[in-house]
Amino acid sequence: MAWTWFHRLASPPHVYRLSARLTPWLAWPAALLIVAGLIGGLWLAPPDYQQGDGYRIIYVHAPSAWMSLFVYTTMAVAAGIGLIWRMKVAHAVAAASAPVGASFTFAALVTGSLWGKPMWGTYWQWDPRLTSELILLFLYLGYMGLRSAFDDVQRADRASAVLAVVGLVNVPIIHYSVVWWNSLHQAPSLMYLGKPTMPPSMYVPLLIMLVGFTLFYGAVLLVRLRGEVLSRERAASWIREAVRA
Amino acid sequence: MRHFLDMGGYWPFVWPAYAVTFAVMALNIIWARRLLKRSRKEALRRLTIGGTEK
Amino acid sequence: MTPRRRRLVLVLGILAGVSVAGGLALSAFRQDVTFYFVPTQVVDGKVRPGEEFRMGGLVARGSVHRKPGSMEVRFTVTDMKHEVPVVYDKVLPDLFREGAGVIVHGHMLANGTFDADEVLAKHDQYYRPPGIHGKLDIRHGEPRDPALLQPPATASTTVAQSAVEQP
Repeated sequence: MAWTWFHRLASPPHVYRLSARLTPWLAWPAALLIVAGLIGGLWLAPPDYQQGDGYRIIYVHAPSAWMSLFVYTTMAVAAGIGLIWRMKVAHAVAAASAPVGASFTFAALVTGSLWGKPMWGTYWQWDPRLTSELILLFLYLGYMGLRSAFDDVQRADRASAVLAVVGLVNVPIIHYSVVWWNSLHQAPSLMYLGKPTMPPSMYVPLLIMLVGFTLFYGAVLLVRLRGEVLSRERAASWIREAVRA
Repeated sequence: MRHFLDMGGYWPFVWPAYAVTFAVMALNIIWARRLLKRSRKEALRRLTIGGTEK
Repeated sequence: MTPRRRRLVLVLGILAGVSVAGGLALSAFRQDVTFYFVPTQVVDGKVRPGEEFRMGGLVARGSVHRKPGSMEVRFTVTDMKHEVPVVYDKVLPDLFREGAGVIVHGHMLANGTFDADEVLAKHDQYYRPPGIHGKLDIRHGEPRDPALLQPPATASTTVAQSAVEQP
């Protein structure tokens, strides 16, 4: 199989250099999109007929929640690839992603809680959506904790990768929880198929924030990935030149 | 401007939500840079100690 | 089988196994996992007697009555098929309105009224600016625009209805 591009991604020096070059191409657009999304969401979008200006929390809550799922999926897929193909770089992607995903999950839970209090009348309920999202946070923390339990990076990679893969079932559960079960949290507003449940003046800033947050994760991931890749190499010769640069 | 800050009365919920989100993003940037700096320092240290150490 | 293929099968196997185990566990615990029951289930006696539980539905139009001089309020929760009267004596959430979604927590009294200790407002996934269909700016307790009283077929309503249709 002539999967040269794929095999090159397995090369730590290549990934290290590529990450350094790509980072600004993700970071700057991320910043621009997030600023645009803030202006759109906090200012240009109209208030909601029943939630007034309170619904504007959606412009930070929904992207955080989306990222919590997207990052976990990336982490679990990378961990699976690391297990199957024995690729150090894949494990590095998973390790680099975990803290970012955990922090987005935390943000989703806190912003959701702040939104729930005035609208639902409560900061927290053990409904299917909230409960499964909290479980996701525990999975992230468990992954990070499991890693730190091993001195040997490769053992840490493999053990935590199994946990990451096992936890992947939680992602569709979180997404479909509001469809499969009676819940306090409402059904999704934006789905791949199906009409948006809000007018363009409201969903355009939301889409902008979603893309902006995703690019932000990409940029942060690339910086962390370089750190992770370096820590998995011994005294390899390529490091000499890469680190002195 | 005052209406903007007031967020229709929901300001105690809207602004803390935005603050938490941006704190998370700032922390992510800080931690990432710190990780990279630490890893570079570690890698340099490994190089100067000597290559045959196992 | 190459070692790599074996690892692939192992990883996919773990994923499939956990999914099946999770699915079985959730379906086995269905009643205990249920976050709220709908009025039809309550009326049909699907809820274990004597227990506290949650009931969700819409606040029936014209059913909200406050006892003058007290905090007590009575209203009816409906799922468009059955109704259950509710009594409550604390502060109602801002979004509580006739025709809107509600989830109450408490227990059934002997006279068929639900004694609620908690009332939460549930809103759907639709957002829109005010003023598009006329009288859309909602005040607490007032009836909504009648055109909006037919609940949009939210997923939860559909699930609740299909849960009811099962034996």
